[in-house]
Formats: sequence, structure tokens, C-alpha cells
Amino acid sequence: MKTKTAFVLTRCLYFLVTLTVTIAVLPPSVVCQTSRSHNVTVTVNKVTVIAVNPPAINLDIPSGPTAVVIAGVDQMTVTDQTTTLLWGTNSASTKITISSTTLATPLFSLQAVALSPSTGSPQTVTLSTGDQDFITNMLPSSGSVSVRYTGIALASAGEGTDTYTVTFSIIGI
Amino acid sequence: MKKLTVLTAILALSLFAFQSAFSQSANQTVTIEVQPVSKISVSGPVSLVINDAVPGQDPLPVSSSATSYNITHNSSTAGKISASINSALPAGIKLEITMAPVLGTSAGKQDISSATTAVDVVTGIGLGKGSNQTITYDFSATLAAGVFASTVKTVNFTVTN
Amino acid sequence: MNCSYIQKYYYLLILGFALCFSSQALSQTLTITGTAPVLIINAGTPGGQLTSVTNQVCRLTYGTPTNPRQNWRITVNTDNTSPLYTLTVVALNPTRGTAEAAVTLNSSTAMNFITAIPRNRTGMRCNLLYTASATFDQGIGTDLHRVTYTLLTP
Repeated sequence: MKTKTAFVLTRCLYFLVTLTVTIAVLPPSVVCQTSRSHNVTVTVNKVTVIAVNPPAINLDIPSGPTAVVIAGVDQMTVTDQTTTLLWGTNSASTKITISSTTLATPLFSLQAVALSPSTGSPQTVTLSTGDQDFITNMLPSSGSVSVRYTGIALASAGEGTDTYTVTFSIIGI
Repeated sequence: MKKLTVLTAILALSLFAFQSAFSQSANQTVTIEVQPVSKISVSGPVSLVINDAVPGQDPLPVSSSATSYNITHNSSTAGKISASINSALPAGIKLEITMAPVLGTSAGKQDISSATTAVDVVTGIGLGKGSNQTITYDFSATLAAGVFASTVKTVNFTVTN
Repeated sequence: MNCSYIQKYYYLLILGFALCFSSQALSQTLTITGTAPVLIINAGTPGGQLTSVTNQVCRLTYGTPTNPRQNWRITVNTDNTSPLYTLTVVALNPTRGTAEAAVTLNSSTAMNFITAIPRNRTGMRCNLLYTASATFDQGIGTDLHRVTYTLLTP
């Protein structure tokens, strides 16, 4: 009787020890959690984009609503602020330049300026064929700005029509 | 060799994409149209008072060159300035004007006493401008006209092509 | 003597055999296949924003054991807790389980990715739809993420 009891107790002890050891070294797959990983890379490249609306405008002297003709003054002017210039840049420093096509014998001159852009320094420019700085030192940003054109004609130059193709370029530095 | 070709192609494409992201342009057509322009302004008013005479003669006429005009004209077609009065003066009362001929030719002294229809005072006006050009008024009356009470008259100047 | 050793440790033997032959019934499976995603943003709209990009090349395959007798879930997190740009992931058309809303990967805290995954299933799968977005004023750069998916019981 005593021997049988000892036998049973011993087997129980062996079972408990075995169970303990088994759980201690149990492979992770039997525990209720499994993880896997992989790499994901996100890269943002330099992006500089620009657009202008509307595609065409007319400045009329003297019929334009903003035309200024003063008796006794040779210079006549007309302004237009209906143009919107839109941009987007993530470059650390950006500028917008402006240029126009060459006219063989231009009768009149054209000036342009950006009105209070949200970033950068605007310049008043008299258009020519070469690129000129229009807005400089722009920070990474996206936005729009009104452009005011001023057409300047001299009465002594007579009447006529000049058509310019104005090009705005955005350059990330 | 094949690997080098592929690598070169990838590098070329990358550079192209890099440049495209660097700059971009947008175009707009801007048209400036200047139509024929003729504009005139005059200073004023002017006051003309006859209050002296030589015994036995008509009252002494008076003259004023105190007023002036400005003009801007850009048409290739020669312009002219004409003048009219809003209502005729009575018989015996005469008002004449002479305008300095900037940009054109003066018609000399012109009687506008009864010129309810405009008369030319400067013709052949070319391109350009003229400022502070003298207008001379000559005002006279005959004894037969009697007393002409103070009256405001309006002289209209028109510049046309 | 040998019989005595076998008698003493036969519990261990029984447990060992049980582990060997029932490992398939006891363990869950989780694999990621496909080329590691590289999302490149290189376009945008003037006056607007940069154009978002997506990648759904990778596939997540998962299997669940018979026990425990309850549903499973998959969570997701990243080791990049201060990314420059926004990266989200969502399970695309899981064959089993419910896809949760897209998770923004900016925290090491595990977020539910797929829930209500039934037990005792093999070969369940979904595609991983990654979306990267950025604004112009966030500038130019690169974020590296080590994204971890975990299959576990609630």
C-alpha cells in the first residue's frame, strides 16, 4: 500500500515537472501571437508646378474700364488684374520668372507685378524677351496670387495692337 | 554589357524625371490695343467786362489770355478743335477766340458770338500732346448794343478726328 | 533499468510526440509576400497639393489554429513614430475577417487591421494597400518604416 502510494506520488511529480519544462520551452508558434515585418519607404521628390488663368487677356485704350487718358499728357495707361497665377513647390528655395515674345516693332510696353503673394518677394517687371525675376525667395508652399498688368502707350506713337505671349516659369533652386 | 546598358537607361530616365520636376512654365497671351484717342481739357472760367470808352466811340473792347487748353491725340487721321457757344449773343455784342496751334494749325481769330454750331479753331492736329496752350478771348460791343447785363455763357470745345 | 527510465519519463515522451504531430493544429501562420513597397511622390497641382501615390503589391497571408476557441485579429504598427509624410495602410479585400479603417502609420502602438478572423482556417489573405501623401510645405525627403503585422487573439 505504501509502495503504491509512493509510486502514484512519484508519477504525479514527474508529470508536473514535465509539464513545467514543456511550457517553459514551448515554441512561440503555440503561444497566441505571431508577427511579421517588412520595410516601406516613402520618398518625396522635388516638385515645382505652375499655371496661369485665364489663358488670354486684353488691355484696351481708351475703352478699357481702367484706361487712363489725360488731356495734355502723352502717356496713356490701362491696367488689368483679372489674371491669377497658381504655383506649388516643395523646394527649399524657389523663384518665378517672367518673359515675353519678341515683337519686331513694339508700339507699347507692358509691365507686370504680383500683388502680395503669400510667400516670396514680388518685383515690378517691364517685360522683355529675357527671363526676369518675378517672385523670388519663395518657401515650400502652394498658393495663388493676382497679377496686375499695366499697358503703357504714348499718344505720339499712334494707335495699334501689340500681342505678347507671356511665359511664367517656376524654378526650384 | 547588358547590365551597363540597363543602368545607363535608368540613369538617363532618372535625370529626365529630375529635370521635369525642377521647372515648369505656363503661357498667357496679353494683347494691348490702342484705339484712336482725342481728348481736350480747358481751364477757366474767364470773366470779360466792358466798362470804358473813348467819348464819341464804341466802348473799348477787352481781351483775356488767362485760360488755356490741354490736348492728347494719337490718331493717324489729323484732328481738329472746334468751338461753339450755348446760345447766341445779342446783336452788337461780339465774342472771338484764338487758340494756340499746338500739334496743328490755328484758324486765327474766330467769331463765336452766334456759333451755336461749332466752328473750327485749330485744324491738322497730329500725334502727341499739348499742354497749357493759350486761349485768347476778345470781347467787344457797339454803342447801339446798349447795356448787356452780366451773363454766363458756356463755350464748348470739341476735338475730333 | 531501461524500463524504469521509460516508465519514469513516458509523460515527457507522450507530450513530445503530441507536440510534433499536432503542431499544425496548435500554431497560427502569418506571411508577407511581395517586393518591399517604395512609394515615390513626384507630381502635384498648382495651387493645390502633391499627388498621393498607392502601392498594393504586397500580400498578407494568414492561418489560424483550432484552439483557442475564439476569433483572431491582426494589428499593424510602425517603428517610425515621427514621419515627415503621411502613410496609411488598409487591408484590401480580405478573404476572411473584417478590414478595419485605414491605419495611419505614425505610432508603435499596434492598431487593429483585420478583426473577426475565424479560427481553424488556412490560406486566408488580403492585399496591403499603402497610400502615401504629402503637402508642398513639408518639403523634400524620405521616410523609412519597418511595418509589423501581428496575428493574435483578442
